[in-house]
Amino acid sequence: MKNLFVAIVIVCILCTSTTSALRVEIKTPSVVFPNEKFNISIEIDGNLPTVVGVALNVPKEFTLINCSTPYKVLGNSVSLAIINDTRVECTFKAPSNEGTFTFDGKWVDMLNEGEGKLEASISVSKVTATQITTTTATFTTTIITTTHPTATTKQTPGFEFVTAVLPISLIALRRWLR
Amino acid sequence: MRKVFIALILLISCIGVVSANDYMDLFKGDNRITEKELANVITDYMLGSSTLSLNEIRDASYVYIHWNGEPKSIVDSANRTITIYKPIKRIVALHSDAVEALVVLGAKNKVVGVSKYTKESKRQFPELSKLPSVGSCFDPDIEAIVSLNPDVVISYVRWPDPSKLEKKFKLLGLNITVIRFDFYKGSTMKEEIEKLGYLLDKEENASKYIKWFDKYENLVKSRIPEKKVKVYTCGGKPLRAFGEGTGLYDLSVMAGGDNVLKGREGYFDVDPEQVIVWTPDVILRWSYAGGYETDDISGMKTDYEEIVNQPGFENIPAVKNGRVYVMSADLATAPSFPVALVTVAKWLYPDRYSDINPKEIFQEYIDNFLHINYNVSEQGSFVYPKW
Repeated sequence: MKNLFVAIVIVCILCTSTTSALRVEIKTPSVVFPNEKFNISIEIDGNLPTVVGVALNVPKEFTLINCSTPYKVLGNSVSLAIINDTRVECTFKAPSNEGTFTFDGKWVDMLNEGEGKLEASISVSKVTATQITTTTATFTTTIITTTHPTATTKQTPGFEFVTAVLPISLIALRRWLR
Repeated sequence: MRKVFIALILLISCIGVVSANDYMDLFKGDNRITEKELANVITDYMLGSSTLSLNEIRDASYVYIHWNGEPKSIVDSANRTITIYKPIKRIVALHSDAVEALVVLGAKNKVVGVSKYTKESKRQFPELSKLPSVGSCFDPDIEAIVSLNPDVVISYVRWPDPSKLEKKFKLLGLNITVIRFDFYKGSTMKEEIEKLGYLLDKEENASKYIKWFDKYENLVKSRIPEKKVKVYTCGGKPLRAFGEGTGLYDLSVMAGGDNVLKGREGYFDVDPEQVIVWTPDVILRWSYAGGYETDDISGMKTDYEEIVNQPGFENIPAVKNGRVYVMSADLATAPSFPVALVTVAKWLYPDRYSDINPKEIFQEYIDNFLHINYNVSEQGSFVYPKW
């Protein structure tokens, strides 16, 4: 009998922001099934009008299917132009293999001087997940049970460097092997 | 037929979005930046494959959002069409009236260079007088202007001659826009403020100023009597006439005067006998003396005495009746024009303006438009005899 314990670490958030009045967030599901199509959204919190450029480094195992805003692909990078929009989505196809992957990149406010970084992790797993998230601001713990919990990358303007982290989820599964 | 069809399809697919290698490429074809074109340069930039700089893309974004993607055009006071394709960020003002207009419009942060005369105006322009000098409107220092990398240079309509400015820029292959606005004539002031406000996206401030201007212009218009007084306008010296097209002439006419120089344009010398024949009721003299920078009235007094002591002038009604007035250039021919207008109107028709104190209007202008700590009751010397 072998016991297999799978540990999944979800959500790493790294945010930097300069003088822009904008907050730009990347939102991904924290867990997706292998080969599943899923959406990643970029959300802009700020007063319209806005013009924002985004560059994302996509793990090579993932396939970009489409975006709801003008985009270009170069190697593993995707760039987006978000004009007068507060939310755009890109559809990706997850790889067949399991693992934890990171989408990172940057955004540039084209109307003002602001720019910042984006980062989110996503796990590809065949199993249903129980996610435990920790809210760092209040140090309380929330337990959420879901198959596709959403991980959010938040940006806090005015702080040169903000690190928000880190909930840890543990999922235990027992598998019988012969 | 099939080949033609394929060629057509290929052509259409190429038309879609043409890559912009240069900022001005964005305006090729339809003379505007479309959302597609903007998205194209942004996505290229974010992938590191754009030939445009981040600043250029920010300019393009600004133009797309705030100007509907289109360039802005005006006709300046030299009757030339001026078109700008990106927001104006750096301005060289070759004369102090333009500096004052830029302050009125709330655009002083865009000024990067001023004339040597503005540099002397430390009270009126406490911050801008510290900027680098670019010579004068009569003799601009091209090297100094170029070193400041301006988007736009603002100069008078008459000065300097284009051979000293536009033609030199052209010879050097420089793409610096020269806008010729006077900002010293009442007849063109509102239009110039409105146009510059439009180019600088300062329409709200321009409207505020124009509304204020209209208020006093209409007040003066409403009090002009049917029988007008005769006015002679001069400056520099008593016999240097300021005729049609000059700021002082405009001022005298808008205030309700019947200027004896009507039909004679510009600045010119006249014989003293001619002035005596005209028998003006009022003489207005424009003076370089006085202004914001000095509390000493003696320079303007000297200008006044030059007129009243002119041989033969003692029989002119204006001199005989004590109606000779001197006004500083800082007040008479500048965006403060409405103050000068009310002042001159009161000089021409004192009975009709007993309820109006021009000094209060001047303080209102200084507080609301120049935003400087300046008390006109205690500082400066703007008119003679004193208010």
